[in-house]
Amino acid sequence: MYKVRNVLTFLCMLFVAQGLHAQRQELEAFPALMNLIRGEKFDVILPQVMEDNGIDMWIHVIRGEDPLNFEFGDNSGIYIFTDRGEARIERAVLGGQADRELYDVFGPESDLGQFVADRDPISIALNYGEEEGSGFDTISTEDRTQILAALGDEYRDRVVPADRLTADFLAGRVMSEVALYGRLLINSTNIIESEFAKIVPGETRLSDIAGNVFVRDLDGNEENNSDYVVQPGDLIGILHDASMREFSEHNGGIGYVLRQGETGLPPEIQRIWGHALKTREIFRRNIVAGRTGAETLDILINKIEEAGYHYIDQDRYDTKADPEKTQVNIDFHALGRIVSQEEAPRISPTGWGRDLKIPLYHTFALEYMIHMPVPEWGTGKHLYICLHDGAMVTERGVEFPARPAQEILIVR
Amino acid sequence: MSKFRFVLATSFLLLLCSAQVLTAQMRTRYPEALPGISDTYYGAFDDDNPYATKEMLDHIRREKFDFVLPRVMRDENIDMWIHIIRPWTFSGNELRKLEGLDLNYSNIDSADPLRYEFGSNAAVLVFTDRGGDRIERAVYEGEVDDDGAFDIVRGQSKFINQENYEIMDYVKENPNDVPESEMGYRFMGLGDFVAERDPERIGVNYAEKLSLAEGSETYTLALTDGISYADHLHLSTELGDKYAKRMVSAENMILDYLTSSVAGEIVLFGGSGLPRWIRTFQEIVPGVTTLRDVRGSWFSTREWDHDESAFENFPLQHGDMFQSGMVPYYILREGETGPPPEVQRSWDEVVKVRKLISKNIRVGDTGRQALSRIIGELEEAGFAYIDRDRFDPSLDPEKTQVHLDLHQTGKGMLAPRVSPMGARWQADKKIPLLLTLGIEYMVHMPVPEWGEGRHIYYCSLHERGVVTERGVEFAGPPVTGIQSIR
Repeated sequence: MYKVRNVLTFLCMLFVAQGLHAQRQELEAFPALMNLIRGEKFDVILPQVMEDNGIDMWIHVIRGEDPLNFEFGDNSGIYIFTDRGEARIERAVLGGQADRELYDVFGPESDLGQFVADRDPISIALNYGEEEGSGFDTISTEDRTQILAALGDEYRDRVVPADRLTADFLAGRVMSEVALYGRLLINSTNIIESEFAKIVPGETRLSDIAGNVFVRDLDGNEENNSDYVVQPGDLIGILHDASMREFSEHNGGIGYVLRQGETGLPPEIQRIWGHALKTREIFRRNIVAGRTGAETLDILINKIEEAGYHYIDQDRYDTKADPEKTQVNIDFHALGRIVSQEEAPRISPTGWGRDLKIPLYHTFALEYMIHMPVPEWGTGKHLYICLHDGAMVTERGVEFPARPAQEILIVR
Repeated sequence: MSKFRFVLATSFLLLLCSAQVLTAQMRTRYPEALPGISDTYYGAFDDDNPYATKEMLDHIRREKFDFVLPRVMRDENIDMWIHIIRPWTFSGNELRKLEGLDLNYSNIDSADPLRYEFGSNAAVLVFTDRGGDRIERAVYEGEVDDDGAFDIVRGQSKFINQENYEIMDYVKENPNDVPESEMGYRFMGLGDFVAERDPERIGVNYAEKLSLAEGSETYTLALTDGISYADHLHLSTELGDKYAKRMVSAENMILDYLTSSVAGEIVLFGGSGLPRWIRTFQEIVPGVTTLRDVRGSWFSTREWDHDESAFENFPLQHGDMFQSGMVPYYILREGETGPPPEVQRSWDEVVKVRKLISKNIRVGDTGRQALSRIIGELEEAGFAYIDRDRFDPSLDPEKTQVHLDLHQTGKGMLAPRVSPMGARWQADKKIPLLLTLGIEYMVHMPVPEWGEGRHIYYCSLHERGVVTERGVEFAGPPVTGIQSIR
């Protein structure tokens, strides 16, 4: 009897597990999709970024974990990409194994000197960085010494850092990545909405809610994932991620907890949402591919100030600013690839990526923070919301591959 | 192992296998964003795509209003677009499907090509270019599914339902201000609305030249031929001479609007991201099981005069290849571990053709220009182009023959079309940015060693291409190879 019961229990568990698996499978990384992304990045992005950076040959040494493992491969080796004047960049691996459908040439590492000389590149990018904060200074000293020795005098002097090239390659998006990015955005929005639905005012603590959960009081003091219990009148922000292998994004949502007697958003809350929408439109119309993040930030600051807002370079209410003006902080960082969220084009007062050019189809967070003074509540009193919607730069401006926050959700 | 344990273990394994097969074969269906949209906009709003929701449809609508609407109106020099979705043109098929589901008026499917774009089955919609980035969006009369997408929603005319007392009262009180026909009630006051905006050119959804029903694969048969002669008369009367003379056909603008995609449409065009289409065929008994039995699409191993319908009931044999949907399946012969070289070579040819196509379609080309370029490139690469999807035994037996029929997909229409088939205007249409393109091509590779005229056929139905400034990219993975069946 016990045996039968055990078998039945096991079978039940098996089916439950299969059911759970079926529900989660939207986030699985299927090999056909992953291979498509790799192949198209080589076909479409690689020639463009090598040309943009004036690079004829890109040498990238992988020894274990590397920011480019997904794109190039996990195996140790010297990965070499050469622009030989044709549409396709030649892809070679010396001293390692890789997907034969993606790579054209294989050989031992000892061939490196001759391999380079045969192709006679003018400019050779190698995976080291000279700029602080790039994160792509990945080659070891030993490897670098050996590579330079193998190149010999003639080619050694042609070597330049590949950090910007690497950043551009990682930031470039093909259409299958865009489609995947949109699916992840939808997933995280669904999660955020379900987290808001769980909140019981007076009972739920911020730490009970999944994601990055925060509430600021009228003086700007923040509770973040703490044991603070959600109260009526709170404006709650939730950021939550969704990911698939190396692909990741995080979206945001905002909720307002109704006070007793309220049936909808009070006027001040509606007003701050109005500012969110107005500034969103300014941002959408003034971001284009081809400018750096820093250049874009300057343009956006001018535009929002022309529209009557006060720009702040930190996410902190400026008590010295005009109390009539709503304050806006901007941090439009990249989304889509885990390793390139920081080391990527960034429209922000901070970060290495500020000086990188925004590529076409750049996927990023339209993340901005609104601090709206409410003088009638007292000096310095203000409301705070953080908008964080997954966006993308197209030829037409900034589009949303999936639905951005539509409203401030009501929590009863 | 005791008998009991053995039986238990075997039963468990069988159960496990069958559960896995069922899971693999199961095609999960999700509620449609609007009734009928999965059939009409297949490839984008498929009912096996969990992301093709009403929220996404609403979102896409708004993005298109923001980004596509201003451009298409300005490209065609249209200041005002009046689009009339006639209340009496709903599709009977959909209505029958919906009977008994307790759905309301707005859930009834219409035959208008923009019913999903605008989210309405009966309305008079007016879009006005009043300068600036945004086009004013008005629902002059009627109901829409997504009020928030519009600036003005006046609602359904109280006179639309001819059986209420309001219309009786109105007629009694305004005997001199009653339209000649009840059809005119939809437009009452529209003349003033238009005069206030004083447009130079008013696009209206009637066809002028593109009069042919759209195509064999779609449900949008009327396409741009939206209003009737009577509608035109009533609208003209309401607008008055001054503005009636400014009416022009909106046919090209409608096509442009439908075929220009925003990022959200690319997301849906990428599907669910799951390779749902690969099947398992454990039930095949060579020499007994027919193509019809396994719900296969067609034989790929063929004679020169292959008759597709005759082969439906033909038993599958070792060494046969057939397609189910877009996936090719090869039935291994005894001792084979994979498809033989000639079969594998046919797949290599397919991949070559796919790559060649994807590099030779450009934004701004007409379908005809793209066709001509691809044919040139195919021939230079050693292929023979055929303008019909039929093996030509008179051609060089060393050359693989390729037929092309690429066309828009995901929006219920076929234009722009890169194909020798279809209406002339379909090939005249220019390829817009981010066009969702069904990469449809047919490859017939002769295998002379199998005998004269024998060949391997592969038909790529609608691989999901997106046309960018960089060429054709794929929103979702195309078929990766031939599946072997033991």
